[in-house]
Order: sequence, then C-alpha cells, then structure tokens
Amino acid sequence: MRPTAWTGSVAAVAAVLGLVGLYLDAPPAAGAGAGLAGLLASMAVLFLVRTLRVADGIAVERTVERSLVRQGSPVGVETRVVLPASPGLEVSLADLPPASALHDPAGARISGGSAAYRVRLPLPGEVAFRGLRLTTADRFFTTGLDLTAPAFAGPSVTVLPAGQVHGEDLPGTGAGEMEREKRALLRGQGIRSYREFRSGDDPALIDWKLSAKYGRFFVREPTGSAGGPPFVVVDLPPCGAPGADALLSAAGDTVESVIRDHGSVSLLTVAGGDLVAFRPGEADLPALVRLLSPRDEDPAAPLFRVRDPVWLRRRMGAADRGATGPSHRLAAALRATLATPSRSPFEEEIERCLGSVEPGSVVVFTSGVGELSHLVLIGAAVRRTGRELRFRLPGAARATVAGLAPYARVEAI
Amino acid sequence: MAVDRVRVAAVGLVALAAAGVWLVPGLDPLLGAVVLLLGGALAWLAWSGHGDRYLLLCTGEAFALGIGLALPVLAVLAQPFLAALAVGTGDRAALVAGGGAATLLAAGFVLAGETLLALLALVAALAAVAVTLAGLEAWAARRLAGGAA
Repeated sequence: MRPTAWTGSVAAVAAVLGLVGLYLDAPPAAGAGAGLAGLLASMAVLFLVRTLRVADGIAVERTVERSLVRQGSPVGVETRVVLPASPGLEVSLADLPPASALHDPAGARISGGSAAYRVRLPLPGEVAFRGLRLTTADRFFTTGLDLTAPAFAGPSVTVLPAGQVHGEDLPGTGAGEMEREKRALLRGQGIRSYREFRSGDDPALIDWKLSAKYGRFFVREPTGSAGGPPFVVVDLPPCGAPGADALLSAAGDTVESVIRDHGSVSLLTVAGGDLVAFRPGEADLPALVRLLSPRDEDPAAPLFRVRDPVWLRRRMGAADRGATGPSHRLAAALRATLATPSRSPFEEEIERCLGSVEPGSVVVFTSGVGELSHLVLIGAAVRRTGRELRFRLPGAARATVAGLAPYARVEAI
Repeated sequence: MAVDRVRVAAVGLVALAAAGVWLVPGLDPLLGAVVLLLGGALAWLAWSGHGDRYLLLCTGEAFALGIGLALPVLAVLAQPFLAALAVGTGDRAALVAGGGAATLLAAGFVLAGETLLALLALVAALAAVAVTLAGLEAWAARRLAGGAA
C-alpha cells in the first residue's frame, strides 16, 4: 500500500500543525494536526477494507483457443471478469499469462469486463495461466495485488516441442497382447447402420432386402465395429510439409477429446512405411502428445506403389478385357503377383495393432504428400475388419483424395 | 443550484465563525484581524472555485487554528469541514469515517490539555495502526496468491 502525493501533502500540514501546537503549547493547533493524522489513518483502513472486498468478489472465466499448441505458435486467449461494485475506488485488472509467455501487455489489460489477446509460448511442456493483477487506487493510497490463487488461475496449455521424432524404443512399440482391467458389458453384435457396398466388403454383410428395394448393394455395419473409442493413427508429416502444424494440432485435439470421453485412447504413429510407436489404451496425454512431432524427410520409401489385392484383381480384370498385347502381358504379370501372395511386415504390424485394440472406428491423420502406399494398406486392413475408417488431411489434393476414397471417407482438417 | 447552496453555506459558516471570534471577551485584536483575513480568503476561494484544493485545505486549517486559539471548541467544530476539503464530498463513507476521526481526535486534544503527552500517544497509536495495516495487507496478499493464509 503506497501513499499518494496528496497523502504526503496532508501529512505535511498535520506535522506543521502538531509542531506549532507543541511549540506554542496550543491544544487547538495540536488537535487540528491530530485530526488530520487521524483522517489519514482512517482512510488507510477504509482503503484496505475496500480493496480486499473487491479482490474477494472477483469471478474470472478464461478460455484458450487450443489446449495443445506448437512451441512458438500464437494462441488466442479470452478472459472475462465479473467485478463487484467498488464505490470510492479506482480498480484496474490485467491478465497474467504463463511466466514464459510472450505477449503485448496492453492487450492483457481487462477493460469492460473482458480482454482478448494472443500469446506465444516458447518453452515446451505444460504451462498454466497464473491469474490476475489487481490495482486499486483512491485519493490517498494505491496498491497492487497478484491474484494467483487457484480460483483465478488456469487453464493449462500443453506446448508441443518443435523438435524431431526421437529414435528410441518406446513402450508399446511393436505388438503383443496385454491384459487390462476393465469391466465389459457383453452384448451380441447388433446393426448400427447401413451403407453402400464398397469394393472389398464382405458379401455376407450385404442386406438383400434393402439392396433389392433401391437397386444397389447395401451392407450392414455391425455395432461391434462402431463401439468403443476410436483408434487414432497419425502418419507423421515430414518437417516443413504444408499443413504439418495443423495436422499435428488436430491429431492432438482428437487424442485429448477421446481421453476425455472414454478415459483412454489407442494411438499408432507411422512414418511412411514404418511403425514409429504404438500405445494401446493409454491415458497419459502429455506422453502421447510428445509422440506427435514431425519426422525427418526420408528419401528411401520402404513401400512404393504397393496396391492391395482387391485393387490388383480389378486392374487384372480390366487388363484381361483389353485388346492389345501390352494389356495381356500386364494381366499375366498381375496374375503371377496375385498367385504368390506376400504381405509386407508393415501390413502384418498394422493387422496386429488393429487386433489388439477395442472395436471401434479408425481415424487416420495424414498430410497426404508423397507415397500413399502405406495409407492404402492401412485402408485395406481396416476394411477387412469391417470398421469405419476416416482419413483427415489438411487441404487434400485431388489425386490424394482419389487414391484414398475407395477405402474411406476423406475429410479436410 | 446544489453547488450554489454549498458555496453559500461555506461562505456563511466562515462569516459566522469569524464573527463569533470577535464576540469572545478579551480577544487580542491582532488575532481577530488575522482570523478575519483568513476567513475572507477562505470564503473567496470557496465561492470563486479558484485555488488548488491544497491551498483551500491549508487556508482552512489556518483559519481553524485562528478561531481555535480564540475559542477551542470552534476548532473542533471546524474539523468535519476540513475533512470534506481533504476527502471530497463524493465518497460519503470516506467523509463520515475521516470527518469522525478528525473531530474525535481534535476534541480529545482540546480536552486533554497536555499537548506533549497527547502527541506522543498519537504517534504511538499511528505507528501501531501502520504496522497492523502492513501485516493485514501481507496476509491478504498471501491468501490471494494461493499461499497459506
């Protein structure tokens, strides 16, 4: 609590009157000086009481654009404050972002009960908004208080590092079986919905009644393929790929919302034709978010123009129907390929991962640049299990959408 | 109209106090002249609105001292008006608290008669108030910062 210039001036008058009263032994003079001193003391008490009443009555609501941000990326903050009435006091408030945040202090000042500004968070990890800075003043005194109690602080923001994928063996990498304590309600498989037949679907799922009614094939989607939390697959983008930040932020948001809704999430990260990490049934959000980082550009593609057998058969049929010599040779080559089926280690790993997670939909986040064979194989593997699959891309190119559309719905981030 | 009434009241009160001083038997004429001069200056400052608030306060205190030397009870009665000059009339709670404290202390000094002892007691009381307020503020700051109260 600091006195203002006015307080100092009044105190000077009180001191002069007191000295005059003491020197002249004049009680009226001393009394006038004492009166002024008493006035200042009562103003100090009143100021403190009013300030504490205002501080105790403040209610704050703060929302952040995203709870997962890339290191150094700007994020918007909106703070709303409800202030109690404060007669006789000038009150000003300012938001206190995380200590490491870079922001414009003028933007963080709360006027009209709200403030909207942007901060950049340069340090990775979990950071929280600290609270509010309260400044009160009247004619006699002024003070500033930092309101950093839990009632005024929060929310937390997780800052993703801007570094590279580390080549370390993480728990969950590879495949296997694990037991997890969970109560499960055993129920038979019902029908969740119907959809149009897509090449590669199990013919046993065709609903003949509906197909006859509309003149085209419809298949049943069992509830077994729809229940449970979605399985999140993230195709880590190379550094500098367009939309990489948006992709990883969207993937992080999805992971967070699945954990919030279901308590845990199964996450698989791949880089081209390689598995990077697999974390089934994980609830540790920061640990999962650390896996979502861009990777180094790899000139060697372990999978190159790999097609699933259904596509090959269709292509072989078209080649067989061709009239030219080259088309017949192509058909023969495709037939020979199909005669000796082989599966890449990537396909086998994907199938093991799908088999070890709860039945549910699958959502794949990918930048859609470069070689798409690994996405084709993921699509084919998910289709074989009868699950719903969605690809999510930042600004998908037509060729990419055309390549993935036979397997799943393609959505833009 | 409200402002005019305040001006009129201020001038009227100053004129009454100055006149009252002259009615005190055995008054030193010089003191009476000083009080009249100060009263005139105060009334003019209050009526015209000119003069800094601090000048008004100092002039008012000098006037109250003058009339108090003639008749101590007048100095006590002047305290609420001096408090209004120091605190302002916009904040009623502050005016009541400040005016009340000033009047009580002035009355206490006039009744006590022993200036030195009363001043020493006042200084000790003010020091105690300052220390208490500092402690309260530190406790409140700790509580509002989320520490142990």
